Amino acid sequence: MLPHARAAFSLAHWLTRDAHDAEDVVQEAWLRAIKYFESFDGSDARAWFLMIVRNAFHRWNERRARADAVRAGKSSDDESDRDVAAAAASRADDPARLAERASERAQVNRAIGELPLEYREVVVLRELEGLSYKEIAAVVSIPIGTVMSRLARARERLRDRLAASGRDDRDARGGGAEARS
Amino acid sequence: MNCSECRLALHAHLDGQLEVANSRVVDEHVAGCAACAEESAALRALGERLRAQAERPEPPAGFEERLRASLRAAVAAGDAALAARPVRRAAFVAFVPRRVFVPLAAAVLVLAWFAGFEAGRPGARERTLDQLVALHVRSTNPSGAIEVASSDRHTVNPWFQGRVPFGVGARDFAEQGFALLGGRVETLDGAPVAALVYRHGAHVVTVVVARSAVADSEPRWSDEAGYRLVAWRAAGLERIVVSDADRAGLEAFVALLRAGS
Repeated sequence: MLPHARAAFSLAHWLTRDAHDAEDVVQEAWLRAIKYFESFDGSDARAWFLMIVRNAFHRWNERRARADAVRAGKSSDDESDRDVAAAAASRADDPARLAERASERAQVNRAIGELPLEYREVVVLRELEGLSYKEIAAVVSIPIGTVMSRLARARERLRDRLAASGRDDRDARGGGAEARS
Repeated sequence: MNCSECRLALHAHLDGQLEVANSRVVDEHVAGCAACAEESAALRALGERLRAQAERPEPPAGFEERLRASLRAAVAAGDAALAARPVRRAAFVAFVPRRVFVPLAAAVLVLAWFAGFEAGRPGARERTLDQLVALHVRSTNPSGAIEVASSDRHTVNPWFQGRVPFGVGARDFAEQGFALLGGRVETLDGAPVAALVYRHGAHVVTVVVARSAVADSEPRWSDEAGYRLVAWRAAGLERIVVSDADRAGLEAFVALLRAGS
C-alpha cells in the first residue's frame, strides 16, 4: 500500500460520505502531491498529504455544488452541508438502515457523519487518525486555538447526539421508563 | 484554575496535548472538583467510544492499482508537469524528503536497470522505479514492513508458498553475520516477488527474489551514493541485493546466497 493511502482514503470517505467520491478525491490529491512535491518540507508526510486530500475534497465539493446549482437552477452558494445532511436524512429513511440504527456502532458513525464538515474533519483527524493539534492545524490551515474550540464544540454535539439517539433507542425498544445503563 | 478554564484545557489534557506542568494543574483541579471530574470522565468515555466504534473506511479492492493507472493516464495524456518529474514522483511514493531522496534515487535507478525493466514500454521505467523505491524504503523503515517475521527458513519458505510462483529459498546466515529477520511479498511490474530482509550489524539488507526468464548471469555490482546493489540470475530466478553495508561484507553474503541457490 502506498504510504498514508489508508489515512487519505478514510479522511476522504468521511468528508464525501461515499467510497467512489472518496477515491476520486484521493486520486486528484495523489496527482497534485506528486506535482507539488517540492513544497513538502520533509517533516510530516502524513499531515502534508492529508492537507492535500482535504484541499482536493474542497475543490471537488465546489465543482459538485456548481453542477448541482446548474441542474437545479438555483444559486450556487448553497453549502455542501445541506447535501450531506440530505444524504444522511435519505439514508435514515431507508428501511434497510432502520435495523442498523439500533446498534451503538451505527449511532456513533451516524453522529460523526451528521456533524458539519468543519467539526467532522477535526474529529476524524483527531480520533481516527490520531493527529496532534499542531498537525490538525496544518491540515485544516487554522490556528491551534481554533482546533481546540472546534474539537470542543464537535464533541459537545456528539455527546448530545449520542445521548439523544441512546434515548430514542431505548424508547424504540419500549423500555423507556426503566432505561438506565 | 477555575472551572471554566479547566473545561477549556480538559480536551487538550485528555488528548495528551498539554505540557506536563499544565497537565498537573488540570489534574489537581479535577481531583478537587466533582463537576469537572464528571466532565472529564464523560469526555474520556466519548473518546474511547469514538475510537472503538467509529469506522475507518478501508480502500476498496484495486484502489492502489487505479491510483497508479491514473498517474500513467495523466502522463500519457501529456501532463508535462507530471511527465517531467519521475524522480519527484518516485520520491513521493516513498515519502522521502528530497535531500535524502536524491542519493537514494541514484541507487534505485541502477537497481531498476538491474531488474531488467522494459525500457521501451512507456511508463514502465517510472513504474518500476516507483515500486523499487517504495520497496527499498519499506525495508529500511524501523517499524519493519515484514509480513512473516522469522529467522527459521522452515517458517519463511512455506509462508511464501502460494504467495509467489517460485521457491524463495530463504536461509538464515546469522552465524556469518547476516541474520534473517523475515520477508514479505511485493509486486514488481505486475508480478509478485519476495523481499527478504536481513540485518548485518547496523545495516539492513534487502534481497529481492523474482522469477526471470532471461539467461543466467554473473553478479553485477554498482556503488552509488552510499548504496550497493548487486544482481544476478540463476536457475530461473533473479536476486537483487540492496544495502548500505560495506562491499566486503556484501561479497561474502552474495557468495553465501550463490553457494546454496
